[in-house]
Amino acid sequence: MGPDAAQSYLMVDDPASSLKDEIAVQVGNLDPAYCFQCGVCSGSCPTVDRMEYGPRRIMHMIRLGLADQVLRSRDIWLCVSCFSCSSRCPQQVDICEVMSVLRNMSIARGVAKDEEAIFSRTFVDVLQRHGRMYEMEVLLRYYASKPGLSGLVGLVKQAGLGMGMFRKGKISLRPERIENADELKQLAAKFDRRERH
Amino acid sequence: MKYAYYPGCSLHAGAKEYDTSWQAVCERLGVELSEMADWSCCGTVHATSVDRTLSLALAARNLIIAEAMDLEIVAPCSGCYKNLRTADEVLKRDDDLRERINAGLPRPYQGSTKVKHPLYVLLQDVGLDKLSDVPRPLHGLRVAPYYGCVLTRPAAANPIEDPEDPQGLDRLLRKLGADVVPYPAKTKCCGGAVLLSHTDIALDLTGKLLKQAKEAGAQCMAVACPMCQMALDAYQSKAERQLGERLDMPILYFTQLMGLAMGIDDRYLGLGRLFVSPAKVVAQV
Repeated sequence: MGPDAAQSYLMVDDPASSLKDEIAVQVGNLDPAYCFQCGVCSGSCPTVDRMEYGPRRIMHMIRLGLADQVLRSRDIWLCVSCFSCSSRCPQQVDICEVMSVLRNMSIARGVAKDEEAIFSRTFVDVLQRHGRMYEMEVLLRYYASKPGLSGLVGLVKQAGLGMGMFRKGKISLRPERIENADELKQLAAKFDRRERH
Repeated sequence: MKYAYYPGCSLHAGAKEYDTSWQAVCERLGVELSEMADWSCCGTVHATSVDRTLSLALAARNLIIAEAMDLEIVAPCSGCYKNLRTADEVLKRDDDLRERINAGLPRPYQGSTKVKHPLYVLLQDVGLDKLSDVPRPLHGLRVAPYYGCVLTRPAAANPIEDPEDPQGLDRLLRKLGADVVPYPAKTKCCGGAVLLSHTDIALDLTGKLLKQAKEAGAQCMAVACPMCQMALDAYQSKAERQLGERLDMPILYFTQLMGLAMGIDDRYLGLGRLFVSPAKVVAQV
């Protein structure tokens, strides 16, 4: 297969896509190009049965430059970041980190719609406000951000457990705040790519 | 023996019993913990999903606090441990990234500290010999040792132990007199990362873990992470419903089991804070 054939692969979806290169830059030497499609990642993935493609196919789609499908895929949000795939990959591709980069890109491009994307964003917003986690606020903001009645339904479903947690003294009513929360705002301004959208 | 203590958000909230039991164990063993002033949230897995560079910066902000104390860090939550440890490893080897991150920090990260989990502080620094004569050994108690996913993964360049078949917790529990059951699921994920966003998926995973522990004959599971503990304990009744099976599996922090064996007062062990009653476990000891 010559360079021309490779070029036509890259053009399957989005001629301007440099998905593979962008990931290679971010994950360093753990370029998905090393993937030889053995499928150990998908065989190791605890949530693969819920996915549309699974990690092996995602790795290949990256190489094909199918940016839109990959970044809009729910699969990248079903990854539980357990690093089973990464620890077993015979080519030492850090698949779990690649998945994380894909989630970052999906959010930065504004195409992340999954519940976990909403939850992660809410979590990071709350942590930047206080410097520490405040579960009550994360939960309320997360469920409030859901469309229609689904937020209320979600909250009601959690009510029983919430009461249990409260009785066990596992929920703080007031947030802990750090003294220099401004430092986190500075970090966010500098590094959080969402700020630029 | 003194460490910079990074409790993490959970140990100040839902997992106070992990905090107090760990601190009590440390006091008994002569390990000094000095809580890091103004530590901030590590960002957990959610920050790595939003922006990996931000996640590294959040970890680095904490690393430099320990550097100023000139101490190694101990982080009992596996999520915090993983974020701080991997950030420390990446920043030590990647000059460009370190420079970029340093530009946003109040003072530069230098790479002079190290991040440890309590389990390995006990195994490597304290030594199991110190636990040779515990007053109330856990004889006859059948325990499933559950490590979870990010206590041993991603594997470091020189990993402390096998990322998929670690033995450290097994050894510690055996030293306490417990009967450690074979538990092949010991490093499978509990699904904690998606516990709220994809609850049914997380419950699938916790259900499997609990069921395997039950089938192995365990009377309780020993855990080393507040996310695992919450998923397996607080969500157990939901997992039971999804599985259509009663499990009744107490989920104890390994520091609580240590405390029981060492005769530490329940005031510090907080066994009453667990959802699934550990009464049978306590009665056995």
